[in-house]
Amino acid sequence: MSTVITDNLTGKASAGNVTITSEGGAVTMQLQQGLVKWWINQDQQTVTGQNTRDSFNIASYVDGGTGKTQLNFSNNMNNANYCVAMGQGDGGGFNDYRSLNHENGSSMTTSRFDFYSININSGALDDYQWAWLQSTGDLA
Amino acid sequence: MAGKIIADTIETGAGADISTSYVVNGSAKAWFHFNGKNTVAIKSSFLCSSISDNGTGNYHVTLTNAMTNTEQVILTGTGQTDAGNYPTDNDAFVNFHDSNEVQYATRDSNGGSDEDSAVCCGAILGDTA
Repeated sequence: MSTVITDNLTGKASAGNVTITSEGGAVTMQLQQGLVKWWINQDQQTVTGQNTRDSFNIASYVDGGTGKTQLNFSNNMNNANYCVAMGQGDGGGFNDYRSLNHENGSSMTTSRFDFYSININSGALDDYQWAWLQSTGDLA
Repeated sequence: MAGKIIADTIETGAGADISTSYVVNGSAKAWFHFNGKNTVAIKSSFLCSSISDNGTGNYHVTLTNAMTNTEQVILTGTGQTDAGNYPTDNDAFVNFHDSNEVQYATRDSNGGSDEDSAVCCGAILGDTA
């Protein structure tokens, strides 16, 4: 077994392009593009407001009130066109229909992402027990 | 000539090591962010060869590299950008997927009808062929 010990991986021909071989061996792909650039697991129902259980590349968050959250990145994205996938959970039964959405009251920027959580049954903003978000895209 | 490293493990200077399989298997194999309203337009993507409009709230994403099977993980995220219609509640989901395609859909969660979304995001994880 071989081990590479390093703090940094940098492309030789192009610094931002390290290539990896696919599992099946048929193709290669750019490592940087496939990496998740930030993620967060958040509890929005603590007594003091929101709480981050764990995160990566998230510098801070702003609790904008019930169901509203602003995430601030530690390292900015290169543009505002990154991909954000979201999942959520709440309640203890099978009737807690919820949805996380990009907040249409603000625009995606390179340094922050705003989202809200909504109770589908009532159509009102609501805090969740579990909010999971992750993003791929280009870092600055 | 490009450099090449063949290794089973990557270790940081601090001694934390991780199998390279986590790097390869843990990387998203494709992702996309497109505007699904009016004329569908890709804002940014990785290893998606095309995205087409299949009608209200329905889209077809074709992957550049096929997956080894149809057991990939597909993560989604959506939303609107029209501040005057706040808050909207849209859901994104997958109608159908194959090794090289995703039929992505968005709808009004409350009304339950298909609806175009301005923010359509998705990421695919799994094994590439």
